[in-house]
Amino acid sequence: MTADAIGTGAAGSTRVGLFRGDKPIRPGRIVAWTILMMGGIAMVMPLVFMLSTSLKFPHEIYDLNLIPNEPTLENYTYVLADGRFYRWFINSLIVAIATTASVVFFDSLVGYTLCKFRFKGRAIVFVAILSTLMIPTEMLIIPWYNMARTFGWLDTYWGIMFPGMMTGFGTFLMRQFFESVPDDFIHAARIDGLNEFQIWWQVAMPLVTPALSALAIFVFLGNWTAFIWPLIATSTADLYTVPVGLSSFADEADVAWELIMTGASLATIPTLIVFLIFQRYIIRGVVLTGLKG
Amino acid sequence: MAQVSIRNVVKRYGSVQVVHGLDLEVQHNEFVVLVGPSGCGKSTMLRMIAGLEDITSGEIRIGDRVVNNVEPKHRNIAMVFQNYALYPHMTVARNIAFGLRAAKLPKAEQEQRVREAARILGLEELLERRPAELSGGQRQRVAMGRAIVRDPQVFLFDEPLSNLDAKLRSSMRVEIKKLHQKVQTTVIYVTHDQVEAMTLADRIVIMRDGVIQQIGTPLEVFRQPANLFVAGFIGSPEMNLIEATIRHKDGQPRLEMPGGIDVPVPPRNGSGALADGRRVTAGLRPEHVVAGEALAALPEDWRARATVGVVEPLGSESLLMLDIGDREITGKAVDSNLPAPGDRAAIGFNLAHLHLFDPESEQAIY
Repeated sequence: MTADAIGTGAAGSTRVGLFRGDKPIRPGRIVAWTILMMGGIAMVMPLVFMLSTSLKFPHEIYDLNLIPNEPTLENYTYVLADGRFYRWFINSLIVAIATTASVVFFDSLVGYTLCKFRFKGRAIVFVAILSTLMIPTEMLIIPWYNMARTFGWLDTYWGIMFPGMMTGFGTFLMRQFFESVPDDFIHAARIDGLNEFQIWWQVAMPLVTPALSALAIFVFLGNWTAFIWPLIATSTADLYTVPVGLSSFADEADVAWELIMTGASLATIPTLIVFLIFQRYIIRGVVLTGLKG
Repeated sequence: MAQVSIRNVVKRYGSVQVVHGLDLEVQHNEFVVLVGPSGCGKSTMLRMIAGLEDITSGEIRIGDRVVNNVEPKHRNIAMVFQNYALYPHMTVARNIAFGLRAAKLPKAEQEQRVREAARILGLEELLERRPAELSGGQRQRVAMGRAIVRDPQVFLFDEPLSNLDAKLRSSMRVEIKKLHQKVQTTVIYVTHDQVEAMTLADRIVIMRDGVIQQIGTPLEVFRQPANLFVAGFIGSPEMNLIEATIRHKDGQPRLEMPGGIDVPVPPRNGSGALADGRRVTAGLRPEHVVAGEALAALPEDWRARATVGVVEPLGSESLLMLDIGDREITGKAVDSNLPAPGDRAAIGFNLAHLHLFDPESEQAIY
């Protein structure tokens, strides 16, 4: 006998709302699920197509079937056998890791200083940093290029990385998060004998791990997928990052979509790893900082 | 020796002066409580002693050393904060040892000191827990452990019990008192709770608007308040303060109070200066406004009649809200046969404990 049958049996024709499962599914909820499902499909489809295309032969790539008629790993063998991909992969790793480390270090240091220290001009410095968020990247490319050319940074790792070593967004984000660190923690550490750098590193930083993790994910993904600036800053294939390198699979005569999609599929692996690692810290950080008095 | 000397200390934020030339001598091993309402400058004073705030002028000495320009870490002090300031990412043991690690003490000594502090405060079972897994009282004990483990010259407490509920607060008061007796160190303690101040302090410093109103032992400030503010601030329920006029009758000063109450001012130092017609503020604590059986112990002319407004039974005694003229005063009765609300009851004033204040200067005159 089902719960519903028990309910109606006991109370005649009156519906007894004893069990949650008895509630009818409201039409509004069906609409909401449908919209969410469509959104989810729209987001996942490009990834599915990417994976699907990477498993197809060239003659099949313009067919929109999701499951290849003749699945093959030949594209993976080709891309992985081509030594250039490893080089681009390493380059991307170097650029993404270095910029992420730099941003996490400097942005949180500046954010902490702007939040916890009182000094003349503090507001002006903060507004100046914020104002950099209003300038589109495209407008900065020419000054960056001039700078890189003047200092001889073109076609070097530093040339690819320098515009992203500190960000206004990261500084703003960290400053806002440091607001949630009680001043008494800092005072207590000061009395306990820590210097200002140690207070920042040992006391304040562990308390903002959710923000640090989120920032690290954003910065890593941003640099891993960056295309325009690395394309402009490099001309030697040995210094290409993955997105720039993959674009070289297309030339005037032909676009090797199956190889591009294979490279792109391989390139998602580090981003997944980074997300999985830092997502744990976001959750742990939320648990830690949820301490109430 | 860990005396703390505060001499003519001034604190200004821009054009706003929050501490006005404060002078205070705290003796070695003494437990001094700074008490006053919010914004009176007591926490600012404590933070200046700790070195967390610069002083605008004056001098602070800890021991025989002027510490005006000495960094907090070099003042040999420990501070317990209102919100405990326990690092949530560290265990209790790590929290307690934090200052010792910073001082790079050998590991064995760190461990020995942490275990000793944990033993004193009953934290042995909690050393591996994180602050989030502790109750409010346990967190407070950890905060104290972090302070005592450093063996400082001076303990500073900044409203350490204000986040606890009433029951826990009273048990933690006892623990703090015991701790002081065990560690025998100078303590400066800030609170806005006068009960905490009365129960803990060797001496109380009562502050208002950045100025010390009175310094004395708990009984001194309770029995001989220097001014109207202290009279009203110390004691619970607070002292009855009644506008009155001095009238001389047969050469003896008497108090004319609202409701047609007229009682003598017992001869005492200061009573000679009470001129006929002088306006005064009379102060009597609720325990000195009595009803019922206690009336029998008072002279006939110390009695009057008042209308009972509200009766609040507290168990061992009851509070009576009494209307005299347009004023309401609080009295106490210990017997069970109490007047009912609305009754016109006989009450008595124990004038041996009468205080008189000048309404203009607010200073005690009798």
